[in-house]
Amino acid sequence: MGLLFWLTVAPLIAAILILAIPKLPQNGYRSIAVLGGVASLIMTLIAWGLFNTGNSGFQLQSTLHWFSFPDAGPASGISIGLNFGVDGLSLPLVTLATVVVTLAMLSMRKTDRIRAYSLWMSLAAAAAIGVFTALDVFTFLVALELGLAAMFFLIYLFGDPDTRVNAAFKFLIYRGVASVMLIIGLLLLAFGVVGAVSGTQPGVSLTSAFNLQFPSLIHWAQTVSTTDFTQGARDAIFMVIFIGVLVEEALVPFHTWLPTAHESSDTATNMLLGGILTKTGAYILLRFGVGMLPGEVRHFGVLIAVLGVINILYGAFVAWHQSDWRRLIAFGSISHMGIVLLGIAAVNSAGLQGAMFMIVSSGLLNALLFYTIGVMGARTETFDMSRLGGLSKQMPMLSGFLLLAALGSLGLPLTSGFISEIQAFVGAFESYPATAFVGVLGLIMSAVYLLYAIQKTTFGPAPAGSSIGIDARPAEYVPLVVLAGLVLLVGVDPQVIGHFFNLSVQALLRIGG
Amino acid sequence: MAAYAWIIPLLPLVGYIFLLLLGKKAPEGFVAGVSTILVLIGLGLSLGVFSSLAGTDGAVTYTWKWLSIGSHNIDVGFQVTHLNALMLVVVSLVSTLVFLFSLGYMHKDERFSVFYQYLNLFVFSMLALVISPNLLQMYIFWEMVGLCSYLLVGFWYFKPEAALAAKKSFIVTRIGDVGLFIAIILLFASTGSFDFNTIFQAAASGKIALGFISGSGLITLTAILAFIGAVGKSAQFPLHVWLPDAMEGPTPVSALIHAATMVAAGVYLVARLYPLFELSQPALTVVAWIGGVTALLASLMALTQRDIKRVIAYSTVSQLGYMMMALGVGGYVYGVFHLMTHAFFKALLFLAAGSIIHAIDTQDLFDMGGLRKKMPITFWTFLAGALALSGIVPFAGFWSKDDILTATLKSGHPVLYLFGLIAAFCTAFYIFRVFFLTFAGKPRDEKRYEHAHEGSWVMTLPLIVLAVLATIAGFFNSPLNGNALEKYLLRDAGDAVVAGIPTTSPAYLLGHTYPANVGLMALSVAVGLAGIGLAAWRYANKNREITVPTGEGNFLYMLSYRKFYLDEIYYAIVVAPGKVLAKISDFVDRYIIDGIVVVVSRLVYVIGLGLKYTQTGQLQTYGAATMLGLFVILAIALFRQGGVF
Repeated sequence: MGLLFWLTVAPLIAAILILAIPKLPQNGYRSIAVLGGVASLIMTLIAWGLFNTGNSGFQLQSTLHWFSFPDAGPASGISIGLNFGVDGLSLPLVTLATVVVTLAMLSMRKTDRIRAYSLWMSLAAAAAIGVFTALDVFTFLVALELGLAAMFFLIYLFGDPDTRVNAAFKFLIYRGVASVMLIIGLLLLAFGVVGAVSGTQPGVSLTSAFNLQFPSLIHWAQTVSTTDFTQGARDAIFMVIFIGVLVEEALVPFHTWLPTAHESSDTATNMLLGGILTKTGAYILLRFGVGMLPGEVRHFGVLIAVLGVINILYGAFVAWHQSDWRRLIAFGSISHMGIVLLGIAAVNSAGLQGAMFMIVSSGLLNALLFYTIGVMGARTETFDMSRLGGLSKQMPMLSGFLLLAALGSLGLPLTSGFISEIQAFVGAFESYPATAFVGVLGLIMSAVYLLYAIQKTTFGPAPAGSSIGIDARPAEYVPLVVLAGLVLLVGVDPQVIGHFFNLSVQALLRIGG
Repeated sequence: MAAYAWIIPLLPLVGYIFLLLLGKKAPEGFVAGVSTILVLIGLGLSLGVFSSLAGTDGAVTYTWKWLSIGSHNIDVGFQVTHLNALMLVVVSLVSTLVFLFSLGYMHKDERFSVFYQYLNLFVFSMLALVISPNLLQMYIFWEMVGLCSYLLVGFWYFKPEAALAAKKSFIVTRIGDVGLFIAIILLFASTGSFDFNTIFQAAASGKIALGFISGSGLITLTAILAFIGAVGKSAQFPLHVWLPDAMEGPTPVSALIHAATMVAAGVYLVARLYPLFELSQPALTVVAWIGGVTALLASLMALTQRDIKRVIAYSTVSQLGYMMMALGVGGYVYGVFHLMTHAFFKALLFLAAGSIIHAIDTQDLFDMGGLRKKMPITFWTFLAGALALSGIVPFAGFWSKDDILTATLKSGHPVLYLFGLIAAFCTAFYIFRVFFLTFAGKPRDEKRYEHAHEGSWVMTLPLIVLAVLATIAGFFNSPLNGNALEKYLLRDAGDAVVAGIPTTSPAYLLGHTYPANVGLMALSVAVGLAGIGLAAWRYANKNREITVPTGEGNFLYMLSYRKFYLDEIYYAIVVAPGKVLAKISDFVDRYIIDGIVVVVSRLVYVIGLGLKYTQTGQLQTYGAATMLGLFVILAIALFRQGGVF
């Protein structure tokens, strides 16, 4: 049990404490949850220090053995338990997760059910972190399922009174389907790879080889020959995983659960959902798609790239017509994830690195957007921009942060959005120039929908009869400054996460050959 | 000296951060004083850098690593060439004067300090753009300049027109930026670098190609795409529509945008990439024609505008067209020279207009009149600017515009020359229309006239300095001093040869030069004087009463006044269909994609009615079932692999 184990379970311990300790004052439960997040965050920083940037493999591994299959011959080798480890791809994402969950916990609204709120937030936090620290398929799936359940309750219990039930079940069904696809796909992948290897490689028997750990799977994926693991089988497995990713990631046409969920959820829930839980699909595609089935990603490259462009443009056009800010952010996020698809489809260093940057960037910006608009919405009691206007007057600082978040989202240089976009498009232009040409139009569209919304919300005269709201309170500056600071940090000095990603990109492309 | 050029953009950045930390309550004089002194120091350094390069070919480049993509390292840093050094001086000079002027103009504005923050950021971005050593860094500051313009045009955010104008300026220039964005990516993809010299080398030696296009095709494609970026930024037809609307910003901002920052960036981009453009005749032809058409169209639009700032704004569009035309016909030096002289007299005209607006609080020319006596300094300085813009000898605009016209004709573009000449006539007419309507005759609004007065020294001093420059700056590149600027700028070609860019002759890398032609000079001065004469006859004639034109029944008048209906046309063919498409997408999303989901879920519900007895509604049961499923799959697979089945 090492650092990563504790890093991942810290919010889980907080959840247990929240369950165990009765009758704390309101703030007590919230504080426990926040402490759990902060503990994870601190350990993440330690992990940065311990991480060896000369090593492109998985590091800081820690294992908690649970059980083995007791007999039954071939299965006796398999060990089921919790395995953790990070590489250049996952460490920045773990960081994103710990930052976002901690800030989301700080942003929980006052409610008389704060204990339940803190509990589900902590569970969702552990799940969100665990998805990225998991080193084997089993741990990964456990985290994925825990996140599904916790998120469902966050929407169901604390969402908008009118729409929460519908939104929560929609979320559960969609992401449930995604989970099923991913479980089937990942297990088929694991067994397919292992089976093929054990049949052909001298000295490798299933008994000695079998485990579900990522490094082994990656290793076998590289060495497996096509005769034993046929193209057709791989294609089928990839498609199962890929459809799971599309649903998980809320990509067109499986996306409608996301705007509904965002529209019906509380600010803290939205930060978690928009900041982290909509990034797992992209991670899966990088980790299992590019990492273990690179040939298939290339094989279906055109399809992935075209889907990416459809998402970029469709998301942007629909976003333009939204008058609810939360729906607008949801569709903007879909548009960003289209850029991720485009970058991954390129399967070259710029494209993959751009996709990785975009995951982090979109997470930070979504969290910042949802937080800012959440605070504004709490003051004005609406998220409907047709009823807002002139907020720069009453809330100059909040309007400033909203503008910054919007500018980051539309890819202004010196924000994280720009460096992500340009890398993804460099990659895309190298592999699929025609598709990329169409996709670049998304850059114009993102400026259109975001600046329309900004103009309606913060510029112009305030609408008649609008209440006077106050600007950000001191405590509210914490999430604002941290998120905005990170957006700028990544934009001004991209190497800060780029040197991790570059490691991972090199490793991934070595597999691809 | 050039090794310290990085300090120049840093000064306004320090100013920005300092003011940001200082907060909104800081006293006006202090805020403006600190900012002005910082850019003034920058101006001193710029002059030092400029003169230090006078006798040498050497460009200075410093870079360090910013990001690795795969095996490529992306650098940032700075580079000082002769072109950059000139730009540093122009930008610093105009900024210093605008900073000083704003102290008077923005007096008692609620967000005075914020205004100076934005100004500082604006100047920082432009200076940093100018000394960028590679395309990526240039693009970064290119966009930052656009952002600052957005913030400053929308500075009076509570005015709906300002909000719309700010948004429009950002989106329209963004359309152009996408062209530049693609160009940069294609150049990187084909040469593996963003670095100017590396790209020029690869292009000139034919080591540039992508899978889908030949080397020469790629050069033309990227040059035209980059030019689209310049079209947006420098407000060239057909993306010029944002600039006149940008008038909604405070007037000192207009002076900055029109003279030194923002719009100058587009011309600068083409000049900076000139070795690339020179390799593609089609691209140069596009540049020349877009420039010529813009020069003509915008000067026609300026003829009838009633808002003083709008007239000057269209004048900027038109003059930028001249610069592009010059670059397009191979007159590299003349385009850059006109960029410099124009910066001085356009800043002057805008600040003078600001002085007028400040005094009488209106922008409508037909509410003005007779201001000559009340505002003598503004009167005389505006006159200097107007003469310079009209190209009357010996004012600054004469030398640079005449060079452009000569180069256009001599390089074999008679039609473009004619465009330029007509535009020159219109230019002289519209600016003296403004001049006479403002200063001559009787006041048409007595009440406003009563209150009119000259501003304090912070407003008049910049006018006087700029008026002097508008009068004498042209001699910098006149035959009278042996075309000093020409020789200075062409030293960059020497650098390029040193950097290993193959070429037939150094001059080829940076266009051609043409000796001055007295006959052509006389013709263009005559055309300018004719325009002034017509304006005087029409607007400074005691026998003709000045009435507000209605334009009824006069198609040509309305065509000019409504700017050839381009805004309406764009709305009809771009904006409205876009909005409809957005609406359709939203409909599809809500009722078709989501609708199918609902139908499917209803179907599932019906099936589920039969299966409901398996459902207990308990989450534990579901969880258990999920885990069970997982292990069943695990087990089956294991046994299968183990040969049990």
